[in-house]
Amino acid sequence: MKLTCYLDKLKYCREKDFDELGVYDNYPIALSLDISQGLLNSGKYIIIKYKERDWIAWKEGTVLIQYLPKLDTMTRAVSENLLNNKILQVHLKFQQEHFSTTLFAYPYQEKKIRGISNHKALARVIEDIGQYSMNNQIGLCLPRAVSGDISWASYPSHIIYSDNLDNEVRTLVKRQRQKKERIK
Amino acid sequence: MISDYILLALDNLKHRGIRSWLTMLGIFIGIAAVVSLISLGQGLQEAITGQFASLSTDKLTIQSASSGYGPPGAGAARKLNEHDVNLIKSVDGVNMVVPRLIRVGKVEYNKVAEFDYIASMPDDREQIDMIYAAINVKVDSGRLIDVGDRGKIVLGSNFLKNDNFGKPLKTGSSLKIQGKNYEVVGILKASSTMQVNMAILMNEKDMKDALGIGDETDIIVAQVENEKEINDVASRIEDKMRKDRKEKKGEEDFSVQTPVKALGTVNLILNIINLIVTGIAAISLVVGGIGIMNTMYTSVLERTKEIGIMKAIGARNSDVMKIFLIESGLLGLVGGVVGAVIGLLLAFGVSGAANAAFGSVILKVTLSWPLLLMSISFSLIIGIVSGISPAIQASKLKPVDALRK
Repeated sequence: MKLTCYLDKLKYCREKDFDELGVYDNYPIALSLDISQGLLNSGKYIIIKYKERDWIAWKEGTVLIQYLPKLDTMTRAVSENLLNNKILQVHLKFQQEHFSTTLFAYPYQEKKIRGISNHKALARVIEDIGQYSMNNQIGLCLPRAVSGDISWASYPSHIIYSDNLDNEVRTLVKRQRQKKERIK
Repeated sequence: MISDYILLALDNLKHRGIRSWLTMLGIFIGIAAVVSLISLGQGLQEAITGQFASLSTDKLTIQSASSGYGPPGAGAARKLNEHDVNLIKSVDGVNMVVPRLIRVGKVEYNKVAEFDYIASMPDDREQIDMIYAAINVKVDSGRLIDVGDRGKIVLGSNFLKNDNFGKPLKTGSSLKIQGKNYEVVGILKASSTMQVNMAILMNEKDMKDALGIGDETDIIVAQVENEKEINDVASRIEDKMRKDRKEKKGEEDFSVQTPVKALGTVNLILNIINLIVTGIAAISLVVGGIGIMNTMYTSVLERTKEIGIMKAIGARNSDVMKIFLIESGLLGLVGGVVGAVIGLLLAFGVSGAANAAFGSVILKVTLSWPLLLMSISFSLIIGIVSGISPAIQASKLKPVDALRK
């Protein structure tokens, strides 16, 4: 699915369908560039103190964003095979190689947007960040963009906004499918 | 897909190696105990029920209320006698009455003495045939005691197997009972009744002479005309004996056992034993469940980074929860399956050893599929239930916090 299409779906999504689009607590957004300063500069986000920590918060309310730089842990997880499972290893390696940062969106801000559900508020932030990355030509991956379980077949359904990565993802998916068929 | 989750959980369990097996130990013990003991208990129950059903549906056993241990009637305040035999014979619906003696006597062979059970055989064709049919014995060598066989005895199978006298016994050997010599005319094949395997069968008159028994009898076997009326006949015998002895109902010094009554008592005891065994095994299963919970909690703590990474690459709370629940469920399931196999092996082992030791098929194993399926399902449920709380904890971890830990 194209990012524009996904963002459109988010905009017009009914409350009961958010789950289908993967809009749920701990929503991860992998990016090829740290955009936290850019978000703050846009004026739509502010820094707030929540549970003795600094968080990027959606100015209107509800959504908090946690910023995870390309931590050593991610790199170590790949090198040490921290994830025992091959499916997860492939997903992790892909994300670790192509994206330098990950944002997580949570609907936990004490200040709530009145009349807007947590899902809807999360969807607005995802839509905003998606738009920001398109406008600024920043590679983006929404690993949980559609409902479904983690599996070999997950990648085609990820939203990946990056021309360079398109071919690479196709090759990766093809390779995984061939591997799976060989196992069968 | 669920198969991917199962593969993932299996990978994690394999990764933990020996710790996974140790976690399952409690489940192994619990399920193995349940499966082995209930399989043996059911086998025993079936064997006993079978014996009652095949041998004694038309026979009643009357004996004095005993005040101690030992053969039937031992220690009874008032022994049964010829008068009681005639009284029972006169009851409506009674076809045949056989008085029997079962005592302990001094037996000597090869200058070695020991005390063994001696059982009388009636000196009447019809009666002796009825007793042989009831106890269902077959000879291993020689022949059975027949009517008019004086000075002859038949030995139970244990005499052939045990080397208590330091010299093997065989047909033709001479055995001293209470100081008098008797010729062994036959040795019985191992029977499913332990008492028969341990006993010496001898003519009733010989036994009375050897043990100095007068007008006494230890048990009276009454065969009824119509087995459907066995309970009514039992009531009539009770009434008549009560009246004869001038006793009130509930204060009798004798008992009339119908096969159903006896079977009921045996089944009640076996059911109580099964219940106690199941209770003990349930404690073990709970301990096993706590073990699984402990392992899963430790696993959550150890794998916070892994959980964080999984979430960073798109796993939902529900994905993490499913993985942990499947892992704990698998611990329970594998524990249940292995426990059931161990339990069956144990049951067959114990049964084989017991049967070899007693020389007869007294312990049979009943392979019950519902029991196996229920035990395995129960351990699967225990695994899943024990994993719920750790799985919720794992699923609620915030990825960034988890990765920073």
